Amino acid sequence: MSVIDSVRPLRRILFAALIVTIAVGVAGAAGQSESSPDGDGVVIYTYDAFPESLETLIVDHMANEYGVTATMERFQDTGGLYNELALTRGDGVADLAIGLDNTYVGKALEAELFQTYRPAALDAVPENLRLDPSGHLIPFDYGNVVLNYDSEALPDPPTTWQELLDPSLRESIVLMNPATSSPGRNFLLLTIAQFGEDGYLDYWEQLKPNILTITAGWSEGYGLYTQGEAPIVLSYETSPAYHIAYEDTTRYQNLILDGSGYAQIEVMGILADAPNAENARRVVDFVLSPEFQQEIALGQFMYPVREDVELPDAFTQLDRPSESVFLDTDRVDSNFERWLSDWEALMQ
Amino acid sequence: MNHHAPVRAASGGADGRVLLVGLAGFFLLFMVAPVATVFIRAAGHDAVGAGGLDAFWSALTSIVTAPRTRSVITFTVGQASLSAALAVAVALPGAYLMAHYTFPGRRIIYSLSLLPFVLPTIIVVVAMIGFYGKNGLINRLLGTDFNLVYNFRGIVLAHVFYNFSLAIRIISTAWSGIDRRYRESAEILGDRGPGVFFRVTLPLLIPSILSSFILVFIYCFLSFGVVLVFGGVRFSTFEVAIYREMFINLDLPAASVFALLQMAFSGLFILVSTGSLHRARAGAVDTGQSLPPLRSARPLPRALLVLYTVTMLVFVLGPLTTMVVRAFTGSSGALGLENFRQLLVPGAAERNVHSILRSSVPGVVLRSIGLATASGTLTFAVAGLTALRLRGSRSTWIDGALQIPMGVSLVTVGLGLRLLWQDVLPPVILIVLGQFFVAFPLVFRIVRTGVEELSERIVNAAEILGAGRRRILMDIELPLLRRTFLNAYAYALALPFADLTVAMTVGRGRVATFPVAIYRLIGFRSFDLALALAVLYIAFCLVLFLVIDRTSLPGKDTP
Repeated sequence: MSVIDSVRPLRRILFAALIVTIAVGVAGAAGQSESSPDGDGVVIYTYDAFPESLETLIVDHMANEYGVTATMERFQDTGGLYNELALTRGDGVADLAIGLDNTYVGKALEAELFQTYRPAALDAVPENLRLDPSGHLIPFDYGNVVLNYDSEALPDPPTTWQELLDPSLRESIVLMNPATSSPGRNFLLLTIAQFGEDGYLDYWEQLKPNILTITAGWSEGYGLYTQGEAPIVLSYETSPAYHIAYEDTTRYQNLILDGSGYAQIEVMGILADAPNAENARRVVDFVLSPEFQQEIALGQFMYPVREDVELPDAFTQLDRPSESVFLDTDRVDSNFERWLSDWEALMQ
Repeated sequence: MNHHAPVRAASGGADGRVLLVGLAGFFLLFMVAPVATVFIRAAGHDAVGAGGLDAFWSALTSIVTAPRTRSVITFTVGQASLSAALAVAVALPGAYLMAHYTFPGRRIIYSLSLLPFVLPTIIVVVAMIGFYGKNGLINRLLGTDFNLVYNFRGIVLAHVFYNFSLAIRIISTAWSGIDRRYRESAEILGDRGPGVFFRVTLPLLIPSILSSFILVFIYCFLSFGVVLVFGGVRFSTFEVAIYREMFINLDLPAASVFALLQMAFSGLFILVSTGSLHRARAGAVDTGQSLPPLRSARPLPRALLVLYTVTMLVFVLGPLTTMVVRAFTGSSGALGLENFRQLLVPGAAERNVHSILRSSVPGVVLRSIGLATASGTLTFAVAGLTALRLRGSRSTWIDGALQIPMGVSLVTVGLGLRLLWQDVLPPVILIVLGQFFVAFPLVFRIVRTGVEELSERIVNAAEILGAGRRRILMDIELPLLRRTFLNAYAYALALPFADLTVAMTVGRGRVATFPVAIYRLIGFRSFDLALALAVLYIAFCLVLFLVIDRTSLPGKDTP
């Protein structure tokens, strides 16, 4: 008798476990098999953090007005959403994508992922937020990337780029990596807008001693900041509104350098191969309507693109940049890799 | 009966081959084909440049020749080697202690040591910062603001924190099996002191030491979040490079090149380690003996072991405790249940927790447990069956191939599973399949090491003495393998429980598990609620580990 023979009963137990798992899995899958959306619904792709309250508004509106089922599919983040659109181009599944931002506009246009649509309501949107003159991608909300500061730890914050270099702020700033994070990327672009291609590296060189760390994602960085690790963090101009609205504290404030912030504009677009483009246009019209736009501030913590809707209290108390900067997308696309590599070489 | 007859590879004959062929088919359908789908679609994605294979080749040549690639490789290998060596070194006394003595709190410490391993990165970071950070407990107690962690030291510290318990568990399981009889025989023959350790114990421990070193090495090699929080831009790994190309530069061909390089490197390490594992095979005996209490040890070793335990408790429990305390601290700064009330009682929070999570908290709990049980049992059963079939086999290639999922980028597998299979299989099944690949390499390695260390000599001896097939299994093998199997099952359940990537990539936002829910709360800047949820998650993990460890902890406690 060999060793192998003796383990046969043990194998039977494991086989039984395997069979039971597979059976339970199949039964469970059969039990919850979902009805695929029918021919005249509308399928919307977005990122995971798109608020449920806004989703409900869209779903209800489409059901009540047109008797149409709207389905939302969510992908991990904006990058994940873009890659999904790029990898499934031509599959004809999604009708509308909501949530790409300026980072992705150039690539998306180049890849010809979207068709044009000019909603009437675009007239109510200020000229400077319409970042795609070709008419494929339609802005629906925006917010500036700025620094935030903790007013308890830093009662007397810097107000200019120059003051941010002060030696008293040594190891006081948490930033995000432009290679792995949207705010990080936009902050790098802001320094390029401010100091030019020839000057931004000099500024970063001087800023280095004041940086505590550069995290991969926004959440880790913001976590360090709220734990009191550093009094200054890179974030959005709407971040302090969370703390006002939900924690009733004005401890966290915007830190705006020389009045400027980098605009992160979120857009939506109808896919080139949308099976139900008509329904997608209806959703776009609704998202730009005052009814939907007035829910964006507290739902999404971004500013609505329409100026004719009223903002909630938490937003009216914030310092805002007087100037919202963004670089031309073509210029960013053709230069960003070089800007980033030079910056990485400097920061190593 | 020939004692020296080699036990051949998968010598179960025809049905042995059936299992291996089935497993190969499974890997092909649910890992290789999905990854290939992503690569092919990426290569055909001509929007970002020339497209096609040309784009891939030009990306390959430019990346391989770039000086930056060399610095990524050097740094990744360097930090992973140092972290793994330190983790194993730190684990050795712990493994010795666990394998030789009982002491109060032993079970709970053994179970606690698993926790860092299953916590989402962001929670580990929050915990480490709360303790070691500039504004952390240590600095506050000392009244200083030393920069302890935002540097290379921080990366290694976090990696050791993450991984040393894995090494303790693997090595102590092996150690408890070897000792007594061999040492006693050696002592009877007049060999004493350190000599016994170096001549008898150490050679027998080598497979488990190597096994845990290589596992920790690979986990650190693939590290993403931890490195980036503490290391900033100075240090980056392959995962960072892949992420950067895939999600920021949107250069899918370049991302594929980095992913392939990463796979090639991991594959190399896996093959090297598998080869050495076979050369150093041990014949360990696990007698399931009762252990003496720690107070019976001689004074010097006892003092050292107590010192070690206290240090490790501070090292691991310090960060966890500061995190738990913060979860119980309301926005007013007072200790209490405010965060838990907001999390669990509908309407108690100003913002709608249900709508942030897109699920109720009990729903999150049930879903997490259900998914982890399904994929954990699947992984465990397949790993167990495979290890038993391969018993005695020394095929480096088969072992190496089975470890491949470890070096494959999870985001890619998840994306591919969805692209290829979503029309046929529902998301829940795809998540279970994806999570299988998260846990399989580790679970398989634990079972395989355990099965190989079970000496065929005892079994043969039992046969000579006339023990029947059933007796051998029930009286000898099952008790000997029980610990290995339960330890493996703990990891098979824990890894999918802790998985964020697969649930996020495959679930299309419909499957909220613990890590997904924590991630969503943090996205809405609810760090306190996220920590409260993490504490609930930790409580569930602890219960799970305690139940399993009750029966798998090496050695019996003396009453």
